[in-house]
Parts: sequence; C-alpha cells; structure tokens
Amino acid sequence: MGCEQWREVLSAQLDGEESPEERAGADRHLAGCGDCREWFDRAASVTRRARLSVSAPGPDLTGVILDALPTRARRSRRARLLLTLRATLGLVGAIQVVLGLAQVGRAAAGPHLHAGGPLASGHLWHEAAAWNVAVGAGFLFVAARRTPPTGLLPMLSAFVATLVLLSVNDLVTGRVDTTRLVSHAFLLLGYAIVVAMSRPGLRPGGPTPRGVEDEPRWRIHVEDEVPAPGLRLLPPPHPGTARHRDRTAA
Amino acid sequence: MTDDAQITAWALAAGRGDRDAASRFIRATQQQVRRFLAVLISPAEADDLTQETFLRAVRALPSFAGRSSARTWLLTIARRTAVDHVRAGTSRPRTVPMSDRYDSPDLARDGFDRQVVLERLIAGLPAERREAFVATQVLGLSYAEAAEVCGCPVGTIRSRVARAREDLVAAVDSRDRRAERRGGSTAG
Ligand SMILES: [Zn+2]
Repeated sequence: MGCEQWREVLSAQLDGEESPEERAGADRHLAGCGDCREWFDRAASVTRRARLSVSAPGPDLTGVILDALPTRARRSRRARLLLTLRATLGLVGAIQVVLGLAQVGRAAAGPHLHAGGPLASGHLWHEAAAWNVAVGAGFLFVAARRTPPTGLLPMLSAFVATLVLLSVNDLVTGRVDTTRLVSHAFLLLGYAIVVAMSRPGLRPGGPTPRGVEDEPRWRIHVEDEVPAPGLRLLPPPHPGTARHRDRTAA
Repeated sequence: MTDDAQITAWALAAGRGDRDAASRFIRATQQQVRRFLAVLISPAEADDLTQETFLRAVRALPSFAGRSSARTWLLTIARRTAVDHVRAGTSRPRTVPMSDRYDSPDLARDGFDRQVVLERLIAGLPAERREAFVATQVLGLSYAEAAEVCGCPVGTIRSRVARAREDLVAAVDSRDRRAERRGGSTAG
C-alpha cells in the first residue's frame, strides 16, 4: 500500500471513520514515513481551521418562506374543490342518464304510469327521455374532460330556464307531480356545477396551480398527485456535474 | 443544535399541513442550509439559494416519508439546488482563490484572513470534492450522511474527502512557501 492509500486512511482517521485495523496499519506506516507524518499534521491543522469556519448567520427566512405557502394552500384547496365538483357532476350525469333510460323503459311499459298528462304519452315522452339522456351525457363529458365547459352553457341555460318556467307553471296548474319535479333537482345541480366550472378561477384549463420558473427538475408530488409511499428525494444516481477525476483516484 | 429526531418530527408534521411545525423546521435548519450553500456556491448567493431550497423543500414536504433524517433530506435538496444553480449558468464565475490581495504576508498572518484564505481554497476545490469536504467538515455530517446527501457510496465520500484534504494541504503549503519567499525578499 502506497502513501496515497495511507493518506486516505489518515484522512478517515481525522473524521473518526477508520476501522481499528486501518488505524493500526496507519500507525505502523507513520512510524516509518516522515512525509506522511508531516502530511498528517498539516491535514489535521487544515481540518481544524475548516471546522472552525463560521459564516455570519443570515437573516431569518422563515416568514418569507411561509408567506409563499398560503397561495399554495389556496391553490390546492381550489384543486380539491374542482375535483369534488367534477366527481359530483359525473355522478349527477350518470343519474340523469339512468333516469332518462328508465323513462324510455317506463314509456315502453305503458304511458298510463305517469301522471304527466299529454306529455306522458307517445313520442313526446320519448323525446323528453332523449333530452334527459343527452343532458346526462353532457354532464359526464364535462366531468371527464379537463377543458372549460363554456361551450355547453348557452344551450343548458336555455333548457334549464325554460324547464324551470314551465315547471312552475305546471306546478301552479297542477299538471305535474312532485316526484317528477324532484328529478329536475339533479338537472339544476348539474347545471350549477357547470356554471361554477366555467368561472375563470375554477376553470380546469385555467391558470395552472404550478409555478413554471421555479419548478425543480426532479419530480415533486404536489396537489392532486398522489404521493408514492416512502418516496425519498435522493438525487439521480449520476449527478450532472460529475467530474470523474475522483473515480480514478478512488 | 436541535436534534435530528425533533427536526424530523417537525418535518413530518409540516408535511401534514402543520404551519407551526413548518416554521420550527425552517428556523432550526436554515442556518445550516445557508452555511452549506455559502461554502458550496458563494456567500453572496447563499440567501437566495437558501430560500429556493426551502421553497422546494416545503413543496416536497408532503412526500417526505421520514425514512432518512429530515436534515439530510433537506441538505440533499440544498445540494440539488446548488447543482441546478451551477448548471443553469446563473452562478458568478468563481475566481481562482489565489488572488493577489490575499498573498500579502501581513494579511496571511492575520487569523481572520487566514480563515478567508482557507475558505477561498475550499471554494476552489473541484465540485465533488468540495461538497464532500464541506458536508463532512463544515456541517459535521458522518460519511454515511454525506453519502446520502451527495447521492454516492460511502467509500466515494471517503476518497473525495481525502483528495480534498490533499488539495488543501498542497495549496496551503505552496501559499506559505510563496509568502515566505516574499517576506524574505522584503527583509533582505
Ligand atoms: Zn507515507
């Protein structure tokens, strides 16, 4: 073993990271090598000074860093809200479709099941069912996509407004039973969610909750991403700055 | 210094959204992070880089699993921030540590400036040796912890620290010899 290898052992010894055998071997080498004795002394003195080096403490950054947090919390709240809205809308859409299909089934079973008067019979009944299925499919579409649902709004608004006016009228004149009106509640709920999702602040395709400039290069789990259990932020195995001078030395 | 277990506990609580724990975590670790970055990059850029490190860390806290100590986890992020900073080329070009100003024998005899000289010599080490040396000597991490922070085997840390010591001993030697020569010429 040459002086170079012994110096690695001596260096480890200065850090208390040597094995007992290494220490004994290094002691024997030092006894017979003046160069390494001198190097060991110098290395010890450089080490002492390096450990002493104190930089003036910097400013307390706690406030600055925590101030950056609330916006992030707000953004993640928004992301959660959006997710809830989309899930609810998906459910409402599914119910709407099921109600529409059930309406078709009931029409096939016989028009007299419903107390809706003239509407309850024949083709008009089918047409109403088709509308329910279509609106449900629209809700499902909006829930599944991440794009703003603004395109659906005009038609939905007209449909809902007309339906509300006619329902009120039918209710007053006693031409509709309340169970039928209850099913409209799903439609109203879905409509409300679509309106909410069209607002710029909540638009799925709107301002992204993530910074672009300050995004670190490795993957960090944020917001709606589910963190993998036990993930550790270790740097990639081959750091980009690697100069391989040490590898040959090692 | 607050112990590792306490800091890790704060980090875990902060990851669950506890703001108070987050502020304790930051307060307990920021000076060490700053010191690491000051020696690794430069004192002038240390504040900015410390802030950047903590912003990254705070964002990543929810995924911190506590399998390693929060301190080494945080220093890993600090190192990554430093690496990215250098790679992005935003770092000021590092001046060769042997500037003439510090060659003056009067300054070199002064304890404070000897310290400045040593810090400049450390700053002049090749990047990998520098981070291994700073992590183990200036921050006092064990070789195992430093290996975790630098993402390399323990044996590599050991050899890098030894090479860094050799570089520093050689640099201090040559400086001392030059200072002696200059001192001798003024005297005679
Ligand atoms: Zn020797």
